[in-house]
Amino acid sequence: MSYPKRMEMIICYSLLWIFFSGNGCFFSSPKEFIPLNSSQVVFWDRQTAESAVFIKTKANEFNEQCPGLPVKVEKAGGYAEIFRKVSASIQARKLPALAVSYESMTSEYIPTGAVVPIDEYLYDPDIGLSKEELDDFFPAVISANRYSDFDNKLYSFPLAKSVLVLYYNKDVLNESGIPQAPETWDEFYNHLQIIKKKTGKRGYAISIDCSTVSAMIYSFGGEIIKGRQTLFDSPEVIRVFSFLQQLIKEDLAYVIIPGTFDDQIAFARGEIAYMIRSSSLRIALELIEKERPFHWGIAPLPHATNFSPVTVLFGPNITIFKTMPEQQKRAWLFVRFMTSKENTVNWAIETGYVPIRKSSAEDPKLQKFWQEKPYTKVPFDCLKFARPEPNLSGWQQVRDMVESAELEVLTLMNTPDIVCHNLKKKADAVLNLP
Amino acid sequence: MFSINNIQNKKPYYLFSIPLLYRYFIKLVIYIFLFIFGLIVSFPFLWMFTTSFKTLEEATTTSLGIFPSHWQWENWLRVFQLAPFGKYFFNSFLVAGIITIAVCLNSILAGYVFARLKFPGKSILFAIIMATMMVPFESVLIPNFILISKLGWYNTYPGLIAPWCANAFSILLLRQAFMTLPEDYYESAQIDGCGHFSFLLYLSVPFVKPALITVALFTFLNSYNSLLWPLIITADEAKRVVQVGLTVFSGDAGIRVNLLMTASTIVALPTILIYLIAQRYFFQESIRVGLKG
Amino acid sequence: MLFSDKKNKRPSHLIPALIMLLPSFVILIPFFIFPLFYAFQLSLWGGKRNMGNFVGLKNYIIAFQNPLFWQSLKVTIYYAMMTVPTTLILGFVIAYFLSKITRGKGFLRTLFFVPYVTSTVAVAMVWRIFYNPQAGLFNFVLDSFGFPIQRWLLEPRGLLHILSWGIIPPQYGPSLALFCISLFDIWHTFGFAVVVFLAGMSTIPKEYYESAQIDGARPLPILFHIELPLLTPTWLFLITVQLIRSLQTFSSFYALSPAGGRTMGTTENLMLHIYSQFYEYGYWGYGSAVAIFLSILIMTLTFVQWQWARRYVFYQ
Repeated sequence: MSYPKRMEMIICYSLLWIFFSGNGCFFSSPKEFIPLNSSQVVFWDRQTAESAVFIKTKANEFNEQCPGLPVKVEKAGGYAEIFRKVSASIQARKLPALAVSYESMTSEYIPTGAVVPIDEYLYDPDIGLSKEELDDFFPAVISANRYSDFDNKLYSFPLAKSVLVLYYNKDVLNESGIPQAPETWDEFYNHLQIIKKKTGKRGYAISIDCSTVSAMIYSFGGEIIKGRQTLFDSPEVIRVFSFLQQLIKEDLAYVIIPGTFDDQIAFARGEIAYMIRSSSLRIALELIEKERPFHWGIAPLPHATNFSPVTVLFGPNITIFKTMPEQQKRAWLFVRFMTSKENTVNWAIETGYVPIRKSSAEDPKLQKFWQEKPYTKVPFDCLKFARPEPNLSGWQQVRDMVESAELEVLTLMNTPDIVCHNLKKKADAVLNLP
Repeated sequence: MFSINNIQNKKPYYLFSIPLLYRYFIKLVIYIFLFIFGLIVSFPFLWMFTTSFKTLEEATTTSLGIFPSHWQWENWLRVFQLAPFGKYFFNSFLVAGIITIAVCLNSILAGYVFARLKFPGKSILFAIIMATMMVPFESVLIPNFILISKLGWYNTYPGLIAPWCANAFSILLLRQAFMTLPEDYYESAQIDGCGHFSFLLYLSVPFVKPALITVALFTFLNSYNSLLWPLIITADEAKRVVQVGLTVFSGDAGIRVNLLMTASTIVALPTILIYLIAQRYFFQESIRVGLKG
Repeated sequence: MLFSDKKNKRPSHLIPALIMLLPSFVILIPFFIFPLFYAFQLSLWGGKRNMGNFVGLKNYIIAFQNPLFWQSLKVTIYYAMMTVPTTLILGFVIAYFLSKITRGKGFLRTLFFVPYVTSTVAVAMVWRIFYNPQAGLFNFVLDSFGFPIQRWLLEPRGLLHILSWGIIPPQYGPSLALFCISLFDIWHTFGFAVVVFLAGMSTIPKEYYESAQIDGARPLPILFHIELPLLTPTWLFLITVQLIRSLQTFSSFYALSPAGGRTMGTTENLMLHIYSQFYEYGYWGYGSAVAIFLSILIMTLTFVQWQWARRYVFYQ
């Protein structure tokens, strides 16, 4: 064979080898998980600069009190962003030590083997929690972190919790002659009509969010799932969507772009009267209030007329990832530090989260705080009837579908029963993938 | 080669067939149209720049007025306090810089080889390079991610830099440039005993400087502006680049639109400055690209 | 013919050539050639966040049965149909006007090219604020003219539905939200078309103009009989380049498409679909399958563009 032709053949063969060699080197056995940062315990949090001040100071405190690998709090985006990043990091096998997550997100992480069950640390005689301490936590808060799909182990731990509450602007209510916040949805509806009549304003800004819809479903007396089937075509869910559509049709409310905080601006300016958001927003509102005083309060979420009050329990759980034993242990110690009696009270004072320990109610510091600012007690009172959202695996995808359905209803594209029916079909398909 | 000046000097000859008054009228209309259109096109930039100096109140009230009543320079400082934009910029410039240098080196070497040297297997190797130009980005996205992670380069600088260090398009450009040098130049250099190819490179590289600068500029710009790859390959703050940092900051800033605009202005500024300074190289490139197809 | 070098007395420069080509190939082969094959392999394996089991063409079948896939494909096609012609026509018109004036040509050309070099994310933030239903600029303008305000990025209804005052049902055609993103991209990329057309027009030899002047032609026929035909290669080039780019758009969608279902899926194009399926949910096989599908589309277009380019460049 001539020299040039041999070169061609060599090149061709090497290309073919490259093609087939993919089989060899990259079908390797799954690698171990390693930490993203081996000299620090990295904690991915979602809080923005100001509200993260509290947790960062606490992290420094912890680093001083407990010598060892330092904990570093990093903002990694909102919950959805953190979910994507952790997802990717799992695939890349390099994880942070711990991160905040919804239960539905943790249930996505568990099958990959990246999550450390906290039971082993919880019941450890040295570094775990004693029985009294464990009982001090509200039972609902702990049980929400047990995953029935995965032999009921504790795969995440509550750091702090928040509940969905109703924010009301006292100035606007006074303007319309409404004495106090509504307790039932019918009252809510009436108030919006009065506000529209007296002031011409649309009283409620709707932010498209699956947790809000879940809370509304609960408060109308409905359920979201039964086993692995969703109940999106139940009459209560249809009532929720009809109610929302009614508000839009009568121009009593409007929709804001999801992911933005336009409702906060409108709320602070007195353009709307009501906002249904997480209790953790309290800090942001207080910051705005400093620049531009206005009067506002917090009330429990309205409920349907014949039912008792219900709201949704959410807020950061943390998930500890398999990195290295030293990092995992430090992560647990940090969590234990953050959920100590003292710090739980501090959480409640410095941020909009609610304390998760029963004993916090008796703490004098907290009681004094509640006396000064009565509205901060409301979220705590809501804890007793707050319910968590489903944590089945696949629920994360269902959340997007629910929000899409909510938009469909709010833009009057379809009637609620058709929307609910389609939603149920799609959600069931995702939850029951073979 | 077509230079920029050529465009400026052409007069529209055929308009002589229309009466003078009509000609001026048409020109006036065109000017007005272009002026208005130019205003519309540049409005987002104006708004972005001026809002970055406004207070929150001003930024969130809707009106067509764009100038702030009070120029708040503190916004620019505040942005750097709220998010580590200094680190983001360092990362962006580092990554873009290394990629640019690597691409320039690679395209000089490979362009020279394909322009001048003769060796067996040349056409097939060239065909391989041309084939990579056809490979679209998204088809290699997932495998590259997996590949980089398996190399342990997830969330590291090599992971950000590696896949972009060679670029078939730049190789092609420099090959064209080297091919315009006369054959005798090489002959005489070789006769003079300049057999070492690296020395020959030093002789010919100065002649292809325009193409090289064009390649460098475009590579730097594209690396700086790229979003998708840094988005998926970096995880924490330490390795974040400016584009990703801006998307994260839009959640951070929340309702503070003025700060978000400040951040946007800061992010957009480097490329605009580079473009304004080195304009003609951009247009050379586009001309060449537009004519050669 | 595999080799085209003539046999000559000069020694083959094989070793230096291979050495000098090594760095390029070290990057190009592992990160461009190999991943293409690897992606194809991946698409034949299932698995969530890992390799999984061999499933053959199942991922492709799942894709073709997935309504989300078809919707994102539809969105991508609508988007391409909206951006490509508009960008090119707008670019051509501006370039045409620019070529007829003398003063300010350079300044205006510089101005129109600025959006093209600016980072997509930075300006998308600005446009997102403009599109805000409550406080944005566009609704402000609409309102002051008495038109009904729109939800822009949050509006899943069709553009045609809104323009035709409700005659065309809302499900048909691109949504208003998609139109918003397209408008942004048209603004962002038309500068490139302007510059390329301007360059193309500057190469038309003035003899053509002179002979037209002698014949006493007015501008409009000159446009149609001289300029447009001579610019055909430029048009072909731009159409294919813009088309390929529009199929691959990610940054503008990522920055502008609202969270929470992406406006009922009407602002999720194929790239976003691949991104969320792979990055968020970890479906390696499915993501690769969709990516391969998109890549075949693009590679076909690229190939077609090359053929046209080769034929037309020599044509003149």
